Amino acid sequence: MSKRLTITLLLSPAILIIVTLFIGGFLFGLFQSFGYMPIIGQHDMSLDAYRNMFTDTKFFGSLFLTLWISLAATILTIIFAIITALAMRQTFKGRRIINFLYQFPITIPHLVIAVGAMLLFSQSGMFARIFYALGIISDQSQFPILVYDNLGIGIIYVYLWKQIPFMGLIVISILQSVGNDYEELARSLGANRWQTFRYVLLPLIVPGILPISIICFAYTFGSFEVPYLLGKPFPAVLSVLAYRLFEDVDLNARPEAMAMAVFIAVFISILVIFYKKLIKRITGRT
Amino acid sequence: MTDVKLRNLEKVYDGASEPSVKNLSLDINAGELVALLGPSGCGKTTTLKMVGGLHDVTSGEVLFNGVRVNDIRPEKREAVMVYQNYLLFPYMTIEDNIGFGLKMRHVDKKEIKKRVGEMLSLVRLEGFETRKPAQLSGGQKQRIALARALIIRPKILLLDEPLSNLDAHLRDEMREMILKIHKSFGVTTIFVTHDQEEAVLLADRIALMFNGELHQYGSPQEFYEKPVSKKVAAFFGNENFLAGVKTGATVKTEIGDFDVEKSDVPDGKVTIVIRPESIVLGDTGHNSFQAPINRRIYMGTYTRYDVRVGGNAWNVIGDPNYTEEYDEGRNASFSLPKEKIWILEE
Repeated sequence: MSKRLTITLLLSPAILIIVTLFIGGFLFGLFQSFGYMPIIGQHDMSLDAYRNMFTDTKFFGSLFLTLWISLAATILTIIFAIITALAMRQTFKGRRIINFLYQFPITIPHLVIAVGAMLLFSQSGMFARIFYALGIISDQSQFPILVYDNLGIGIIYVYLWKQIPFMGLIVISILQSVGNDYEELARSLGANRWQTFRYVLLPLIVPGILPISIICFAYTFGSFEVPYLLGKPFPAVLSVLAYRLFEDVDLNARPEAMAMAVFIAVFISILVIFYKKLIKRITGRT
Repeated sequence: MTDVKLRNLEKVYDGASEPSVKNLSLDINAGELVALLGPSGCGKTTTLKMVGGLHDVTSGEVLFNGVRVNDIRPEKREAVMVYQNYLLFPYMTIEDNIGFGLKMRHVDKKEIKKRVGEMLSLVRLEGFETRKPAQLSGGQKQRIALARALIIRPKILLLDEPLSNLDAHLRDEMREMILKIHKSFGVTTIFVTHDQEEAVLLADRIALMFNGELHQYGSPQEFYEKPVSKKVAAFFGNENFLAGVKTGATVKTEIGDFDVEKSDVPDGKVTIVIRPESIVLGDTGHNSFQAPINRRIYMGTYTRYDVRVGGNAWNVIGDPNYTEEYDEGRNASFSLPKEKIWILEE
């Protein structure tokens, strides 16, 4: 058997899955977004679904909420990942246990964390009950709205819980590869701790975490289960809105649902291309 | 001008059972150029970093002009470090790299630009302002690193193996530049090296360290002519040792008696040490002996002989034009000038 044939055969299961599930599914959705739905007798293709989508205020409400959640979750992840990574780099008693606890959330599925957040932080959740029992609040409804809230705080919290250790580990490995010499040099040249961080560490870390930040942003942008469980019914994030339209009993809503799904896919694809270019630039430079 | 005193300095790293630097005391005069010399892992860089405040001192004191600086943060010490691998900030231009220390001190931008220009001309790299470190050769990077350190007019300059990453030609050039800069700035300079030749060529005084301990501190000449131990002599390339018993001004050895100059070394078991180039080929009639030549190597400007003296392998350096009587395998005559013999107490 030739080498080429062997490689093709070995790769074929993966290729088959990608082609049928992803590309096939995408094309199927793309055609439906153009109104091509033979099952209900629609054979004509048009851009009506896209036109409706881009003139619908509901869509923009969802888009802004999605962008807000993705951006806030990504920026806060970066900030806390850097802070925690800098702290984890120090030697202190109990470091191994803290390190284990730090990495633990990576292994927990988003869904479990979302359910946990619901049980802990909702107005009927555990913390609200404890606060009520302790007399801090006189009614459970006085507990701040942390899930099903307008700003998506509960959703952002779940993403942070999961993404901070993930990005933190990357920052730790970057810091390890950079070593202490640059910091020491900066201190010896007269930089205080803050200046050392601002002018030396940060510029050395950022090229490494920028691509990961794009991945985090893209993931949050397209993610469904967490906002579905912890988000307000309206406005909902794009993926949830698309799902609701997809589930609509009126099959005429299907093309708009698919147009929204295509929009999400294209947006994420652009981010992935941007990520690839960034990686190429960084690896090419080093 | 700042003098540096180290008093019983000790460093134990977290989790280490042995100290990396043990009971180190050293006086460095203001404006002096001192080399911390020793093999890898002997504690020389740790010592340098303790002087710079980059590593905490476990015990002992670091004094600048008599003032204890143990608790002064590195950015306030004005003891600037130059690293072996240059460590230019890769994302900054050369101008920003050199001006870094001044920027941290909030010096006016115009002033920074002016002083960067002066530094670039000092290190003969005018016109390099807008380049990035990746566009520079190793030698150029090291010169920029030096300029970056000197621009803040430090009290003490700390050089960590400044020449070891450079090839032979650039090393000579850089060595000359360090000497020139040291002369014109008069800054107290401590540099770390594992290369004894580099230490000899650059330093006013050398501090030789083994296993975190100071073994000898003195002028380069003293290390060649008056090593304090066989280990120090061997580090400086001299393993011409001969055991004997000293009585007055005579040392009795297995190959004969040798007259030596009066010294403070008490009578008893001693080791004779003599540099290869101090041994005279031939019988001068005084302190002479015969020994077999194992090997003769012509080195161009001199000839090296591997000679068996007692049970020891000696090196003898002689004239490049050798004669037949010093052929390999021959038993030849050698003499040890009395004033060149150094005696070590056993």
